[in-house]
Amino acid sequence: MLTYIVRRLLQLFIVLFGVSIITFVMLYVIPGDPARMLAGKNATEEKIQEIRVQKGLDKPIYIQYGKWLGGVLQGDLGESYYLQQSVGSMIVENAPNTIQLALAAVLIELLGVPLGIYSALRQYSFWDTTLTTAALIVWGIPVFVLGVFMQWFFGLKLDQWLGVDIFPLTGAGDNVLWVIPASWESLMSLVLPAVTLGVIEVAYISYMQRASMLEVIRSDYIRTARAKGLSERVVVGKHALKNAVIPVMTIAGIDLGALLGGAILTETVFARPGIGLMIYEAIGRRDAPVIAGGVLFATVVYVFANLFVDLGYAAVDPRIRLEE
Amino acid sequence: MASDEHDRGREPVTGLTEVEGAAAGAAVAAAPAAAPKVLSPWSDTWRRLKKNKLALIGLGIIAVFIVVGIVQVIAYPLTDGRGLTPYDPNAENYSLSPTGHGSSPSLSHPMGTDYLGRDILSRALVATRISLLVGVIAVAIGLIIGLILGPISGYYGGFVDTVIMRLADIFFAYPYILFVLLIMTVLGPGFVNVFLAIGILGWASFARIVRGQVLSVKSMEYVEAARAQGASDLRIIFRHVLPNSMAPVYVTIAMSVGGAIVTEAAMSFLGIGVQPPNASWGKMISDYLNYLFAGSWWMVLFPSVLLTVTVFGFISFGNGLRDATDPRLKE
Amino acid sequence: MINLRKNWRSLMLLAVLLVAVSLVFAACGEEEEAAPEGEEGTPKPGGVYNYVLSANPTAIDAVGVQESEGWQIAHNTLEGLVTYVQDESGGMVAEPKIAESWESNDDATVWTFHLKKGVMFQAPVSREVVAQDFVDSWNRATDPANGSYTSYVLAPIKGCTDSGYWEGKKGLTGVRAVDDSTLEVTLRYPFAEFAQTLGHPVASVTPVDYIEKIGAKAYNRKPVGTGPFMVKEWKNNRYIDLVKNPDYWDKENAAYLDEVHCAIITESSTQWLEFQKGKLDYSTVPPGQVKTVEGMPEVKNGEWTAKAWPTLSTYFYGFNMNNPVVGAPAGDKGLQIRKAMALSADTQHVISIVGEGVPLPATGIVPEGIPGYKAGQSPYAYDPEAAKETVAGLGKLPTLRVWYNTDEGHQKIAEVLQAGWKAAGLNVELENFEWGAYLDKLAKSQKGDESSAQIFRMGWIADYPSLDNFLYPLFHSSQSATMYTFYNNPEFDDLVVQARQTTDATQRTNLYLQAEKLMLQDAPIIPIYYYRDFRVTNNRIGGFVHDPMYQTHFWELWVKE
Repeated sequence: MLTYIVRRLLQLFIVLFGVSIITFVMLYVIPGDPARMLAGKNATEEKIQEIRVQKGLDKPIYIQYGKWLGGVLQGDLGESYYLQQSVGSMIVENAPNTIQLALAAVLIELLGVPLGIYSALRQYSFWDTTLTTAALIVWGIPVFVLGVFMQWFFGLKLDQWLGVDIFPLTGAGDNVLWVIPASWESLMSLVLPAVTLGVIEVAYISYMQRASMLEVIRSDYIRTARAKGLSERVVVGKHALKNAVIPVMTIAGIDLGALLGGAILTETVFARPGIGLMIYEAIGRRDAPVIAGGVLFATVVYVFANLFVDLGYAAVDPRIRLEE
Repeated sequence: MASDEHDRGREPVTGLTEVEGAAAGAAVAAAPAAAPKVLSPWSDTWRRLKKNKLALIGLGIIAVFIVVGIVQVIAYPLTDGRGLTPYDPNAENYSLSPTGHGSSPSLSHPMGTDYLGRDILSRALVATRISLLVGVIAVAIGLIIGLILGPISGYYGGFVDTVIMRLADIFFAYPYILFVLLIMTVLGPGFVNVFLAIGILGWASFARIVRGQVLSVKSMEYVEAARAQGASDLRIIFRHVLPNSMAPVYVTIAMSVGGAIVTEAAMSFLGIGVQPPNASWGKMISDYLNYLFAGSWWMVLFPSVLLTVTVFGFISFGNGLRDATDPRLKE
Repeated sequence: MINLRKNWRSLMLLAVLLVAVSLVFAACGEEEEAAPEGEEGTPKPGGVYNYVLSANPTAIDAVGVQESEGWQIAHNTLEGLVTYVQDESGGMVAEPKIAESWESNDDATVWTFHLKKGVMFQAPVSREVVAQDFVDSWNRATDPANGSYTSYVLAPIKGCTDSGYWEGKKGLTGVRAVDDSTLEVTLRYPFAEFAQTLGHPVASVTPVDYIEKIGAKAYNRKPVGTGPFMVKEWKNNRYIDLVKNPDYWDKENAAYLDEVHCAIITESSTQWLEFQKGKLDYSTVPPGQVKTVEGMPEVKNGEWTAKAWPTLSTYFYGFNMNNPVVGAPAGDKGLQIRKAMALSADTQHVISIVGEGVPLPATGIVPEGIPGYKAGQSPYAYDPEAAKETVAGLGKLPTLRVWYNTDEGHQKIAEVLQAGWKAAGLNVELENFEWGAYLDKLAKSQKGDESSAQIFRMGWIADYPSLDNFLYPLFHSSQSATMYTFYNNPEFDDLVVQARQTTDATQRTNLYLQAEKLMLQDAPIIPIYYYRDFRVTNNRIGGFVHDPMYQTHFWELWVKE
């Protein structure tokens, strides 16, 4: 177990190293000179050159990378070119919104679990087909179309009809203890973006759940249980369900990690300041330290989510061994 | 379970990139443990697929999409970019959009016209070409790289395997949409670059799936037999191992094409997708989105429906195909 | 069918009747509309105003302010020697703020500013502003270590470079506090409009001793100036809260409002939804929805006001004058191509289709509202027939490249222009690049090789309301590289430099206008439109103005009920 963890951690660092190198290489070949953009209008070439020197952009790429890596190893992600702020503090500021959004979206995704179980038990029935079709159609809707529609319908029209303000349209509220919404409004501001993000994934989770369930109920031990004359309720409810849900939970766990870097569209539509939006804006501004730091953060969260999911999986499912 | 168990948890990761409309390699819980019995003949697959109505509908949608797409692909160079359409998709006609809000669907323009008075049906038709090309070419790029690296990794194992799989790990771990954004910023917006950006990311999932398959069949008797007869490694990989490992790959292809189309739409929304005068469904939706609440619903509705239905087709067919080929789901 | 000739009389009668009726209705309508628009009652103190910013400002302190969002905050919290106000005609003029008066020597190189007494910094500094504070503030703004991107405003001062930074280590040698209330400024070259430039936030007075005490980082989050509002809290990407400065020195202009809550929402569609929910008192309107908004019942009954506010900014297409096909190297043929493109630039449809009638057609580079503005300066107004003739005389032309930076609005404008050019017989292909790459490509076009830029979209927003700001920094040969036209006409240069040295206002204006006309004849640009900002405001608030420099004076607003 311990050797496994150590080996995985080593792999993790290789991955993080690779990701940061890819980021730096891309930032290096990206067209657009951060100094020119910073200088704004009316900038003379001398001024642009001055800015280049000031930000260390005149140095070769490997020196820039080395400097950055050195900083990271000491826990310093550098300073934004644009905002007079350190990248670390920007991440601390933006991460809670993304973490909340990812958690809530994953909870909504899990609606796919009962749907998938139902589909497996009543394969090709009327409700199976209907629900699966609905979920699949939602899957195909571009997230920005769904988001804009949700905003308009649940954020505005519903309020106008009912005369009460239920779902805030935008942004995020205040938090306590970094990630916990401090107020009802703050909590409600999560609903629309989380539903937008989560509902699209319901079909995916439901499909995985269905496959997992089908596999389990056709397995030998379930057949044995049935042969022993246990009631269907006990067989399905007690034995099959547990084993079929675990793999899907791991998927949800990994999803959680992935969402932390990838919720750009939702964050844009709902003006929710999070990690994805932060990196997206930084790309537009060629704010290299923010891009590099943000990508690193998102990747770290993702790879650790993976590791924990695998460890958790092994802990609850005795059939799994961690070593090859 | 024979191969890397820990990969099992990670495999579906590709699917979750779809969260943001991504998904180069889409949702496939790989079946690394596939037994040799996998080799179900196509007739068996078809027999099982037939029972699944959704998959059949999906297949029908895909067929229509491909036919229309191919017609447009062929017509595009012959008609100087106009495509086979009732109207010139790029010709503005201000009389059909007097206030810049288009005109609603009518007999002569069944899907209405857009802000420049261009016929939306014609634009949607030529857009099929882009969506088809994005789907096919982007996925093909990923597939080809994956089909080369995957078997090598699985067959040789050892150091080569480690290097390729760590590389795949890196590509998996990189936040998908950010990668696409960065690549597109590097390459610049445009049609060919969209293929490249989506394609470059797709290889890792194909490589992993094929590797898993190769691992599970490489010690099979017939491979051993071929090796004993002195067949070369290459021959073994591509003649014996690959053909018997393709079922999950086909599933991934179907899902990936759907994913690529959605990704292209997301890129258009972020302003980095295909560029005018080229139209794609995603580009149309994002160009027209603001008119939705100005009452010009037809501009957004039709491209959205086409996109959604097409993606639905690919995903439901992919799901059905997997049901029909995965030995673990056999009754 | 009506026989027109026979029914001429009755038609005439009908027309007269119609006119009469519509006049009556119009009169009624005016009355109806006038009621809600008129400022009922007198301003009274108290209340909260809900404003919205379309971006998280990069900075809100004097040194760092860049975009209009940051400027909006700085404008209400910081003050300089002058401020910009609207005159009766709606144009912008510079008026004394902290300065009582000023004068310059004959060639406009030495300026003396007399400061008002009793100007106080906000709490917690709470001390009187003296001339030395300006010396310190301007030195801080131009200190290269502080890396200001707008300090070019102070570039004319002795001791400063064109980049807006100190020339050496000595700082600004040209600024001197004669006594506590007299500031003397020596310039590097004559510049008659110098005083007009000083309303820019970078020229504001700041308590440098205090900044040094608490550190620049802390100060930048919560700047202290002399303005009617103070920054209470800035939460990145969420909001900036301002509160009334209770000890404001200029009693006449003290704020009515207790608080201004500036939400930060980037998407226009989201702002607009929030406005409809009553969460905002002010909003932009998403593209395509102007007409819808104008037709809404709340606008009709006067609950809200929807209006296009003129601004001092121009949208234009530039030509790369170094390009071998369209630029100066192509000689007269280049000029003919530029002329044909200007003649066939279908700005009317750009405005009606893409702009929904909001922007105003541009007839020159200087927008309406700049003191001295003159309409019709460009000799090439839209004339598709003349364009066709010009093109026909040019023989076979290559396909021309039109560039714009990636954006939905720019794309739509380019599409409409492309249609107009095509109709005139000019084949163009559209290419777009994302902003960073766009600037790079334009900068690299200076060499004027085959693949260099030909026609590209650009915009200019006034830094200060003066003719000079639209001519010198854009087209003077020493500056034109910063706008990528690389325009170079010695005759134009002479006129503008001469204008800068002329202290007589009328004479100066004439010289500038002459220069503008000359430049437009060479057609290094095609003026497309003058921006107007379409904004919806809630009439719960009185005194709202969105001025041509994009500013709202929060201190003039008050809550009605």
